[in-house]
Amino acid sequence: MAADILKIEHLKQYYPVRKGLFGKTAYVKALDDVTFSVKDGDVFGIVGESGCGKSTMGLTICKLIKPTDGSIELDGEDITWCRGKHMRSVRRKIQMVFQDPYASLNPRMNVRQIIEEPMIIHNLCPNKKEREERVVSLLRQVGLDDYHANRYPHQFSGGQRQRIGIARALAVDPKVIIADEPVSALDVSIQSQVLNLLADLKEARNLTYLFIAHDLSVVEHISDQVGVMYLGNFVEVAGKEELYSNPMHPYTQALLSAVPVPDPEVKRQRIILQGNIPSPMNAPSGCKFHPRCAKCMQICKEQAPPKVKASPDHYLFCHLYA
Amino acid sequence: MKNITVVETEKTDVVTPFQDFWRKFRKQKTAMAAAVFFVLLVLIAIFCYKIAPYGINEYDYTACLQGPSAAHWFGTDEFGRDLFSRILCGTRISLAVAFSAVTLAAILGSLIGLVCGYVGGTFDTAIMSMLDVLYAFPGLILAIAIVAILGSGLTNVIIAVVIFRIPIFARVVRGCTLQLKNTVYVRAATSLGASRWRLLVKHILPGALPSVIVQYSLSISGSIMTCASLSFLGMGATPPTPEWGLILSNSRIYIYTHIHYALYPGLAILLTVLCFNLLGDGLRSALDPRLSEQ
Repeated sequence: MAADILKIEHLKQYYPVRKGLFGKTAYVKALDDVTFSVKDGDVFGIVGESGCGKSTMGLTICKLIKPTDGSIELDGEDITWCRGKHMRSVRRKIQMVFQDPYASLNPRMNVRQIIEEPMIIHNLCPNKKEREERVVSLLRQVGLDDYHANRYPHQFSGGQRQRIGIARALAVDPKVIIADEPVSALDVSIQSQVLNLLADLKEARNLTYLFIAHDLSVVEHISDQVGVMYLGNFVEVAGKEELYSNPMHPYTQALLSAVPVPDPEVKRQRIILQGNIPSPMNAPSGCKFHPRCAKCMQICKEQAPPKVKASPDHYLFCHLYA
Repeated sequence: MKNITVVETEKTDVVTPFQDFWRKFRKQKTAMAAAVFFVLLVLIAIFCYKIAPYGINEYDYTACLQGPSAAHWFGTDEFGRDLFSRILCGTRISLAVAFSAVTLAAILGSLIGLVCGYVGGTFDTAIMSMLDVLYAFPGLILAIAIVAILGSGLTNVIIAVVIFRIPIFARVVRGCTLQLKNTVYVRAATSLGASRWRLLVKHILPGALPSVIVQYSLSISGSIMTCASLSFLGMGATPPTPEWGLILSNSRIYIYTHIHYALYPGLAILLTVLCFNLLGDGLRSALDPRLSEQ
């Protein structure tokens, strides 16, 4: 059993919203008491609909936004309140691949400068020639060619740009990569290429991924563990096979029923969710999912659901199984 | 590693941002003409004393207020000095004042704008409000006020121009900084561990540079006007400096009898200002990110 490389405990990310000049401060609870852990070498997939806090989770764990409360433990080290030089050394271990490959590369730098930058920041290869070789080897590893190094981002397609983004993240030899919807901006045909690249790189370099997506089939393809998020917290976390074969939470069931099946003959029963996702500013009482849940009971409206363990690595928050 | 897909693309030439700019700039005929004239102006400013046919203070009382002729291309002034030589040498003064003042203002203004835009909050509000007060005055009136306090002279003209140009650059750079600091690539650089200084210098400043360059060119023409205006009003260069505004000022009592005296310095100012304005417009269309991103 591999050790936990990433341990998140009671992580909270509240954004204050003040109504009017003297109004009361309300909070958007983007992350509300999230606890989970990722094993070394695993791919932990996070799914959920828009606005449920997936991206906030990635940004908070990567310390690009300061958490309100809770703790983030990376490789046995608490990095929650790390700053300055210390934080810089932590950043060597945790890197991020961004959603939009068009916006995440500086249009005024060529590919060499982009990939070289993390090495310069962390003083990895002081020798210019060595750095050059490393850039070329990284380009090769992500399936690009050495002559691409002199080009500028606008000369590449979306898939190629995402490869450049991946090469940049790999430049510091990180242990954990947070991939924030790395393929959702790409064509479906390119998605699988980039996903396979990510999977190959993980094998070759023993990486751990925190893979954020809204596409269930993408997450199924790459993950070992899957967490389903709803309004700032997980509703169900399980191993991939377990979750896809035996979804227990009504929300997970509804989500899975919406995954398209590539066979027009198959008739399946879809669970249609009522209404929209509520505002995270005034989340529903009790179980946050109760206004949209088909199996809502009286207790769901009043009490927050308990954590139910269905099997060693399958747990969910629901009154149905309590 | 298995089944790696090498993405095949044509090995076309790499287009650097500068090449891209040059391609767009070259297409504009007026801007190219302005650029050629600009090079000419700079050459004149460098070699004016070598190529001027007469000394700038060569008095010849036998040839006062003569019209244009083969000996004096632009005619002579009331002391018989050759106007062509004086205007030629005036180029150096105008360009030197404008370039030194605007360069200083661009550096200081950009620095203020960069820091204000990045830091934000109360600091930003306080500094920018102060600059807005300066910005609210019409440029020339502010310049007159500053020169009135400091006393006349070209050095004080430069100081005046710097002071009222700073807010313009600060505004432009602050706007770009606000926009760029929230881009994903700046966030990506943060996640790589880049220091604040690196973010500002390597990622945000290059993004603001096109706007600064355009503003620089337009500011040069404005500053030449200010310098000439102040000299015309007797608050800038002192006689016998061959400053264009000063020559124009001296010519005004002869304007009904000897039109050439006012015409040539006026033309020199007009053409120079026009040159920098057209150059600025050309730079703007070649550098505007909205036109050049895709």
